[in-house]
Amino acid sequence: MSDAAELSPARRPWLSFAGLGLLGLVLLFTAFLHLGLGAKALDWTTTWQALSQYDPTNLDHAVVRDSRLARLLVAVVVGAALAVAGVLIQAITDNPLADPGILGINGGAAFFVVAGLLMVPGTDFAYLPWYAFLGAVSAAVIVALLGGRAHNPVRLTLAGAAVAALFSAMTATVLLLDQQGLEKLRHWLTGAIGAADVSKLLQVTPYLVIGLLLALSQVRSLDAHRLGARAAAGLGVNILRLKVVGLVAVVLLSGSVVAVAGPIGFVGLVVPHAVRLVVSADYRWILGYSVIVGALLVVLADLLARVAVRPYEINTGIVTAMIGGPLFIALVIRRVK
Amino acid sequence: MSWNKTLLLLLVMAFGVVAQAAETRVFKNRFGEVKVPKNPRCVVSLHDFSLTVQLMELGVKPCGSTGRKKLMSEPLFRGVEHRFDVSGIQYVGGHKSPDLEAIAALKPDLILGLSYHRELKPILSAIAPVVILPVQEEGIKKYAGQLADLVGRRGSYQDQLKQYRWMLEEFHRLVPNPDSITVTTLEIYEDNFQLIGRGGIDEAIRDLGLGHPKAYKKARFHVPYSLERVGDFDADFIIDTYEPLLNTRQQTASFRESAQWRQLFAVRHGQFLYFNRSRYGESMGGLLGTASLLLSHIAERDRVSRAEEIRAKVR
Amino acid sequence: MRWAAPAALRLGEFSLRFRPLDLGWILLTTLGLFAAVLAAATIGSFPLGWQQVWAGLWQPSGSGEGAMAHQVLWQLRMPRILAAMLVGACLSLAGVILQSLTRNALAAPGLIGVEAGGSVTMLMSLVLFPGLVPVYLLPLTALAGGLVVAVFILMLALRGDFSPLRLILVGIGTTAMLQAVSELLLTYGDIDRVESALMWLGGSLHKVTWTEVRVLALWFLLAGVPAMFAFRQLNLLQLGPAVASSRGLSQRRTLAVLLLASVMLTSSAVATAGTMVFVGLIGPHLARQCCGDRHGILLPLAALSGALLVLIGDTLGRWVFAPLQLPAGLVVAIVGAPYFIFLIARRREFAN
Repeated sequence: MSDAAELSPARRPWLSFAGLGLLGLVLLFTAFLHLGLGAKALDWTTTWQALSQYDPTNLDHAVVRDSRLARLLVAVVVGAALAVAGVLIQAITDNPLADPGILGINGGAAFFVVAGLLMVPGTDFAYLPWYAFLGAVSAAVIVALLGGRAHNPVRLTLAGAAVAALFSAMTATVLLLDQQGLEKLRHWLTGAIGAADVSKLLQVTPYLVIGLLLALSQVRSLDAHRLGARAAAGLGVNILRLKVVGLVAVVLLSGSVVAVAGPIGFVGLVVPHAVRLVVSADYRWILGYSVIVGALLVVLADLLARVAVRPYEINTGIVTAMIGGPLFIALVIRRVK
Repeated sequence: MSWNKTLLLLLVMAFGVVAQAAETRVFKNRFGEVKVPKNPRCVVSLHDFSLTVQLMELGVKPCGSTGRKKLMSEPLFRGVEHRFDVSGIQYVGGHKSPDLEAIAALKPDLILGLSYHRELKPILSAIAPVVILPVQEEGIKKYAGQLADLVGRRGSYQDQLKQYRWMLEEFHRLVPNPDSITVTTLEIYEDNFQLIGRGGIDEAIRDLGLGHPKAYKKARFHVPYSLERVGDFDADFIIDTYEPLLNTRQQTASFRESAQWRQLFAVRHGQFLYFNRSRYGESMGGLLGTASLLLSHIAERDRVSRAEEIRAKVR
Repeated sequence: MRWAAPAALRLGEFSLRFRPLDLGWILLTTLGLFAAVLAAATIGSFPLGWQQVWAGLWQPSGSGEGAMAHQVLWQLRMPRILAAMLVGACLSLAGVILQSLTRNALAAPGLIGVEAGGSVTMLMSLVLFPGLVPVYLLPLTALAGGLVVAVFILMLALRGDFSPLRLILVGIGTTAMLQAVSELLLTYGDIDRVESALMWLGGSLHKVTWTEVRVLALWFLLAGVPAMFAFRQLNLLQLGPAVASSRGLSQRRTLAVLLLASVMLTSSAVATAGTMVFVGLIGPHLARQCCGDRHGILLPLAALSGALLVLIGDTLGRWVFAPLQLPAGLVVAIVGAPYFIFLIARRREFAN
């Protein structure tokens, strides 16, 4: 993991800044593509005008402003949140194959949301993040128990896959018992980012902010933990607190995302690895890069979801799985001997 | 009365009883030939929103029907419940995987299904004759005719058909060239929409000879379209349906506030029609109900034409 | 204790070592299975008492009043019971083989992508080209998918040294990807088809007739029975590659043949009933609890416990919420998974 050490920001901070700036520009450019491309063909000047000189009577401007901009915002936030969750979960489990999706955390959150929506009368969106958190915590605890005390990434990954399968079975059961719900939820269940989610996003913002702050509060402990649990303990890091706080942050971040856009997998897996190609040492940089790269990945995935089968749209979660699956396999082939 | 005559009479009576108990005939449609009872006593319907509705309209109460189940609530026969007395109809599970034994327990003598029930036909045939009706393939009028034939209610069906034909004529009397009026039927969901008009809407529009916008004619059905494309399907009239059970009206309210939506021709001119999706099933009643809705919402009112507005702009 | 001394059974070149206790387990499971069959034959929405079932079982055909009862017993319940047992046996055997090959107790056909592969090709033919493939050829499409995925995963895992861990992890990635494809097909299919697909993905036996039973039995004879005789090779493989090759076992060929058997068993089950992720995990695990890793006993015992598991799952699924029908696979997952989680949490050395 230290093959990129020569680019370590401790030695060349300007380079890391430059990289971050460059990625930010790429994100801006992709975001503009996201606004300009879509089911409806618009030319670039129209897109630009919709942003710079908005004309409320122009139908094309309305498309850019009403639907695409809202969707872009959701994609950016979802991507950033999932990426940070991925960095944290890989760090605290010390497992390069960890991801909220693969470890069943998204599945747990999704099951609790579905069950809550269908079984608890009078549920409205305000409760959904809490159902999601509850589900995410239950899944995380089960997987942690299964993972065992000994450090064993493979066992943890397998346990996660089993828990994910269990929760998806339970979700399917609830849906079969409630056929009216099936019609309503099947879209959401595959990870759908949409313009209508913006209002939900506003409601989970406090949780997302808390999750992000918790993550940032652990930066120093994470840096020490990277050197190994014993070394970290020697440096005065409370490992248990790190793990608990990290897990709470993961639950808040991925639970909020599930409540807004459904279970979207693989972003948390892919982004930390991509980021480590550039920066490796300092968790401040890793988190900073992850926010940008995560947003970039999901915006790109969402762009693909919207233009791949134009004029129809597919779900963003499906695209991230199609991108993330092969990357996961590639990682396994490189890493696991 | 001589002995011979008495014997003969008894014989005839006996034969008559036997013949009635086992009186069958062969029913034939595109899904094959089935030996069915002439006067079915207990019919099980495998689809509530089409077959069960139509049976009730013809005055035949099925002894069992599939329905929709919401967790922790009574099963619901969609499209039937609010129009007919459903007591006595046994709920036999969901329409995709009905409880076969619950059907057998009713001891039916006829089971009716849609084309996707063909995969269950081999098993169900062990219980009673299974007839597949072409609801999705040939439309409401054709399948309803076959259904009426099966349950011996051709008269009621002819009455329905007659009333429907009159509505078509009445529409054409008021609107001599219906194809100049363009109509789009769709269902809007939170993140996408589909081009679909359930409960007889699409078939009635076809029968009325109404026109469609260009994009609609080339469009694919049963796929989710991006909401961005709503503008392409702008027409003189836009018909959407809402499902009260799923609260779709509130969920999609924000889209109907958007500039995209409010700038549609149909919306600007109050020619957007929003109907209850479960009011009518896929039945003759659905056709009649829709035709009467369209009669009053399109034919019997003042309306504006999009084509004319465009022409005026060009000038 | 003299009675617990290992005995040996010679069967040509095969030699099978077993302990009297093992026979006891087999007997007990068989009895349990027999009881479950009788229970399943009397449980259902159609009221049938013990006496009716017992009498009906020995009657070739029913008449008059009992005709419907006879049809229900022979055309609805019996095929379903038999299919449930066969599906369970197939999946459980496939699981044992896979677990022994990879030396990992968590490797199940459902977790490493074989079931997902079969389900994708099956869904493709169901959703994309409805009516193109005749119903009786549908199982072959599942078979094709399962084989492709298995070969793909094996090829990736075999690059360089064979690594059981890599095989499983590649399988998990593949499963996730294929699930996305399934979801794509499901979301963009018609709602009518979606619900049946959901039943199918949950592993349901609601469409089973005698034809499916015959097909399953055939595949079980083709792949399952020979696999049960491969216990010696499996025992050797369990000891690690070095020991296995020192005993003259061609590792790659054995691996390929056994993997093929495992895929055949999985695919035939998937083609009939859909995906049941947990059967291949819990069935073998239950058997291992009784007799450890001695494959001579483990294989038949796993087949029996898998059969019992799916039979119970299917019976509960068609009974508990009747007339709503739950797929057997989902019931197995929901009942079995917590037990499994409890076990795995207790056994720290698991999967190490």
